[in-house]
Amino acid sequence: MTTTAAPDIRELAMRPINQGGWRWWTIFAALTAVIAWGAAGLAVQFKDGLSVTGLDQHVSWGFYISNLIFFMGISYGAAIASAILRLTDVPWRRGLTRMLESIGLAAALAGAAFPVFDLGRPDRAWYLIRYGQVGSPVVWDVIVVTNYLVAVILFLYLPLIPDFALCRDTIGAKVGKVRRFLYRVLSLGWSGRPGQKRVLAQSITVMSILIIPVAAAVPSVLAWLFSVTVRPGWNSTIFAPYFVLGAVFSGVAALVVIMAVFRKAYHLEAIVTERHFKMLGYGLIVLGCAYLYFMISEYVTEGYKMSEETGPQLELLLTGDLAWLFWLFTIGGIILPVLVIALPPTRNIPGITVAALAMVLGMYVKRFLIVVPGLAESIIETNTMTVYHPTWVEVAITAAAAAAIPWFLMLFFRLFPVISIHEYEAELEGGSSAFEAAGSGAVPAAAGGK
Amino acid sequence: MDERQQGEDPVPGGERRPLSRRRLLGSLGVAAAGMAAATVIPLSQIPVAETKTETHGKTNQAAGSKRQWAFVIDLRRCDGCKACTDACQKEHYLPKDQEWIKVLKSTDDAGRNSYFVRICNMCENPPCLKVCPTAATFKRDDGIVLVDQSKCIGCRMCMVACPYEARYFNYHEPLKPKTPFANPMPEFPVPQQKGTVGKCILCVHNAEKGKVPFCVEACTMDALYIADLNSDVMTNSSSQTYQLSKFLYDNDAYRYKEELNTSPRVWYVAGHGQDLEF
Amino acid sequence: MRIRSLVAVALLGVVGALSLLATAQAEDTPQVTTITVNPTPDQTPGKPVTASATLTDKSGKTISGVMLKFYVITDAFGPLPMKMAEATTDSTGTATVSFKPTWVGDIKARVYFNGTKDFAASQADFQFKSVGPVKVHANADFGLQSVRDWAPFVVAALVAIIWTTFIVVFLRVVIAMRAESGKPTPAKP
Repeated sequence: MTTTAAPDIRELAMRPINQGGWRWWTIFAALTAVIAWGAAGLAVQFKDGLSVTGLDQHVSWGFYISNLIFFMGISYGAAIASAILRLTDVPWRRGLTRMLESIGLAAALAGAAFPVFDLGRPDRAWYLIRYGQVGSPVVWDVIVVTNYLVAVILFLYLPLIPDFALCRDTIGAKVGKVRRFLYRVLSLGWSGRPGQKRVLAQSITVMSILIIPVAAAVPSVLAWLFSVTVRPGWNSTIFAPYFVLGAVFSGVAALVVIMAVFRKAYHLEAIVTERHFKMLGYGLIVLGCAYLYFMISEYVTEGYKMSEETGPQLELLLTGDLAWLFWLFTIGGIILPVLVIALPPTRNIPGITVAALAMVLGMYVKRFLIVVPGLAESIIETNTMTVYHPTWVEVAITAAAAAAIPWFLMLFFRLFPVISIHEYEAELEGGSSAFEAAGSGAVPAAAGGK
Repeated sequence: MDERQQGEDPVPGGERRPLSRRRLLGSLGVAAAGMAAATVIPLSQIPVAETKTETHGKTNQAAGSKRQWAFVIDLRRCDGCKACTDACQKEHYLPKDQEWIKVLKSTDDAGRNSYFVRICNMCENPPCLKVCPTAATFKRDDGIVLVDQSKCIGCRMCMVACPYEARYFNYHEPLKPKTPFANPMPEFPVPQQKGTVGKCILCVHNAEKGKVPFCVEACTMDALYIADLNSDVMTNSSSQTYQLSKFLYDNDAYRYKEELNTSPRVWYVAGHGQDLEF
Repeated sequence: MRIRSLVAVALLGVVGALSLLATAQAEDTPQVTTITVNPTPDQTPGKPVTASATLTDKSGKTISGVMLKFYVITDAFGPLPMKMAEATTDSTGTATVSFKPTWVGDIKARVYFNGTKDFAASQADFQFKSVGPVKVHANADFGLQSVRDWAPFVVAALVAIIWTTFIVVFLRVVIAMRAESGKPTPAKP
């Protein structure tokens, strides 16, 4: 399960910083092209307004709101996972936390842009602050997303401080002026003194605790955006925990996918091992089953009554026009991937990665199935289902946001180590470092193997 | 309209508009009776005090306004002709996909139609107002819920929150009058602003002048009434005027989705056009 | 337009028919009637207004057993008569009604006699002062007002705590790093 020898962590973690090459540039250029396509779509939309989208008077929220939930979900899923791994002091977390936290930031930035894209008058977005009404869930959303963005930046930044110092000390002389300046300023004069380690460790612990409620508030408020209304399918008390769970589920699944890609691309096989995949895979089984359980609970209670409002909604989802999407998600996005991870023959890195990818895509479908059918069914007319077809603009902007996450990470890891070197080395030191939280002096398992 | 302003001939049950044929058949008797009413005493016009506007956001205060506007829809008379929708769209320069007053049709197994008219319910606890992040949606002291389109950011949360689907988003450049008004007000948002949400304004610009809304004026079936809760009066396009509270009680009026605690100010009298039969 | 002219023609026809009818039965023309409204006292606060009117024929004889309808002239949508009450004239030809006016002020009111076979329709105006109190419409209560009043402050306090923590954590890290940065770096293993 563990590595054979202590890998040269510095060499491995710093490699992406030095590694350019045609492959990196090709992928980067491809992602940039996708983002440019999205930017073109956005330009068209800013010029012509939301009429270029597939939205209409009935389905007035579509892809953009789905994207908001999806990307924010991945973000806070990753952030919460990192926080929990830190607080429970799971020894194998050290290869992952940096990736989790940077995914958290990248996806949060991608997601936070969508409320603005969705506005009919994006030029007036600042009215949210100028005229903000505390009674509005939209304003709650602004508040919790702002809180969360600050929290996730701090959460990513704090463990980076020693690594900035490392960059400053090792490659600082080789890189350009700007980057040298960046490393020097951001490292805040870190020199690894015990006093610094103690303060940093405490601060990270505080942020790990704080980010859980701050992050959980985001999916909750997004859920309330829906469930404070009387729309069928949205009018539900289960929505906030449902969204939180879905967020963690999709966040962990996205981590597995991104982890697999970066493991290959940056040759981190020695640090990110099959054990990491298995551990996260177990997590995905639990989260997937829990999500399924929430779904069953929702559909049994509503389907038993088949009220005039939610009845058509359930028929639309379970047997109607959107049934193929629904079952694609349920079977292809939860049941099969869970089985793939659960069965030993496929419980390996490729198997778990493919399963996680299916889960991520499935969760996107699920978000779409939450947002759109709730609006497609009129609540004043019977037997009226509006069909929503996203246009190329919406698809382009969505694709651009999806591309922006790896794009951001590629850039990010060109500048900063992909693994938290400091934490990793602290682990190798046998937990004697003041970096460890109190009482966790004896680091089991992974450290023991060294 | 003008005749009424001049105070002429307010004979109860009298006819004052050009009649459609169907209507004529049902009302010949009334017309004859009206002719028999010999003397007409002109009334001096009673000035209508300006209704105090303003105070955005205060949702729970009815005091401070002389009028409390309301609306009554007598479905027994509605024949689904959509004259109300057409008039509203014409007067407010609305595109076809914005039906501030919307006529819904349902057909039973025997092929018989019945109609339902949906307008903004001018809720006293408006869900749209609560979710509006910028207070672009506001409620006046006289109970009218309006949208200040120069504050609306177009998030469409109100469209999602409205239980009556009474709100419409301006996806396209709104239609404009040939000679546009200098300063479109929330009370008369013509032309509307692109990228913002609009809705029925209960023609408060008319009501303040003692005129009935365009939809009421256009209703050839006399099914729509504008009402004032304070002076307890309701009237329709034929100037049939009733005591509101008595009418609502006598006709078992109800409000749409009352269970949602939105306290709508639109009352319905259930029916399917049966008034036409006799 | 076409409908309108059709209507006009139809109406003309009806008028013609009726006038023919009237001419044919000229000797049976209903008698002209007069309504005399007794002076209506101003409203006593909180009490209904009592109004009475007497119907007389051409010769001044009272007419009993017919319906008189009492209207107030509303002002919300122009001067429109709104029926408040009706009563049958008694043996003295007087109909008495009482009703509560729905708004305050000098109220114009009107009595209608719709006419019968023998007596022609007539009407008469009167006025009285309404002092109320009248029902002022109160908006419906939504509920949990106190909770909704306080909730923003609670949330604001929470947000303040979160932001304070952010700032304290960040400042503490910056200060600690700076304070220690001058000291020599311990050797790495």
